[in-house]
Amino acid sequence: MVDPGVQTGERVSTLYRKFGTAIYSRCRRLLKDDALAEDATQEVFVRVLRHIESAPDDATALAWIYRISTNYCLNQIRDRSRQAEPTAPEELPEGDGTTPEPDMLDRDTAMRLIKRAPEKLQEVAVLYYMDGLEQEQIANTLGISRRTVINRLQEFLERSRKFVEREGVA
Amino acid sequence: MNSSTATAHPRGAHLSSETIDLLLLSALSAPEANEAKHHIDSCESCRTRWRELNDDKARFEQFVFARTLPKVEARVAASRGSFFDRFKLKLLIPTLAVAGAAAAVVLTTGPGTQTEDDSYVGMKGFASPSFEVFAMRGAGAAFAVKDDTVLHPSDRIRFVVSPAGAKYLMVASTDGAGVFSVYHPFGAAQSHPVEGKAKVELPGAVELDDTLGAEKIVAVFSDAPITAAQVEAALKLDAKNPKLPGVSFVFREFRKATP
Ligand SMILES: [Zn+2]
Repeated sequence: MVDPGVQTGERVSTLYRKFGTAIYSRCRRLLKDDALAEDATQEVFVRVLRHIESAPDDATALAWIYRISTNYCLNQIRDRSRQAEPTAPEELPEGDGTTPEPDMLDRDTAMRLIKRAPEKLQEVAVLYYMDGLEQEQIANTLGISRRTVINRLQEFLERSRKFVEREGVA
Repeated sequence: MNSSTATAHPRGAHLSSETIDLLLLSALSAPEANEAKHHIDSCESCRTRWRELNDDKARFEQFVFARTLPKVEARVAASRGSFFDRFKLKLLIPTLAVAGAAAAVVLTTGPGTQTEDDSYVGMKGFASPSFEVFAMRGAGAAFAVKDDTVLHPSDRIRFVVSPAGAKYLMVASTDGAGVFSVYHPFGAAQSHPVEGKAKVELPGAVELDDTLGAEKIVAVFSDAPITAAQVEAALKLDAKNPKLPGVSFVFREFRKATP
């Protein structure tokens, strides 16, 4: 007689079937490429599995999925843009003007702005603008303080505003 | 939804990804689910996201899941196996010793070498299938299980076999309470194909429960698939010297006691 908890094969495929869609959908939205999204889905699932297994509920499991898939996809995007153009446009030009309304932006535009933002602002911006999570939820998801979330969002907004003024968003 | 955010940003106007994902997982409470569905019905933007997510679900389930599951399983098995891999060097010498002992068991008590239909054993001549059991306790090093080894509840055991040309394998157990279970393929109703003549470490570990006493583990090698019911019946008839045509049994035994 045994404790079946240790026999993980079936459990892995059950969890993959259950949460795979959330991961895949996210990767498709962020990467905008079906083949890359398929690869990313496997990578993210393997990385997030331990967290999903020990998550007390689905919301916690999803929080891990958001965190790890966002991080993974943003890294992929950075790697690709580094290959395409050696100097990644992390620093945005100076300027000033009025604040755009990011809520008015569609998610494609938001994603375009996020790709241009410095690395440390990207995760927070994805969770806020792409996912519509509350600041509190973002803080919990990323394991940072709410104050940090607010600061990063403000900095993102500030940089995006300058960028939009200079380049437009279309 | 908390709307008293520091940035002037009207939140709560749309559903968050979390709400939409939880709705798809049927993990929202009934009132929350109703509220979310109501919002989707009345909001084009969220309806679009809901539709996208459902499209992605269909794509994932129809194509991506089947294409990627084997790779995912292999990656997970590899990452979990590495826990044992750390002990490979330490295992090397005891492994050889145990393999020798296992071969001796086959020669003396293995009816597989004596059955009428012993095609694979006969054809391969000198090669006999072997079966080794290793145990792990807590985070300690793996150790070989010999017939006088005392194991504890919640120890984990793993199996190493060399099929010697046999095509199917089942590992079954009769515990101290006389309960029969199939350890590999875990809980299966019949033996599964096994490959290779060299040693194979079977995937997965089995955690021992708290049934105490002598536990007998048997590796059942055969050329054709056999059912768990056949193995159980053969063991009931003769626990020490079970007989099935074309089948080779290799035993390991240990005692389970509380620490
Ligand atoms: Zn909406």
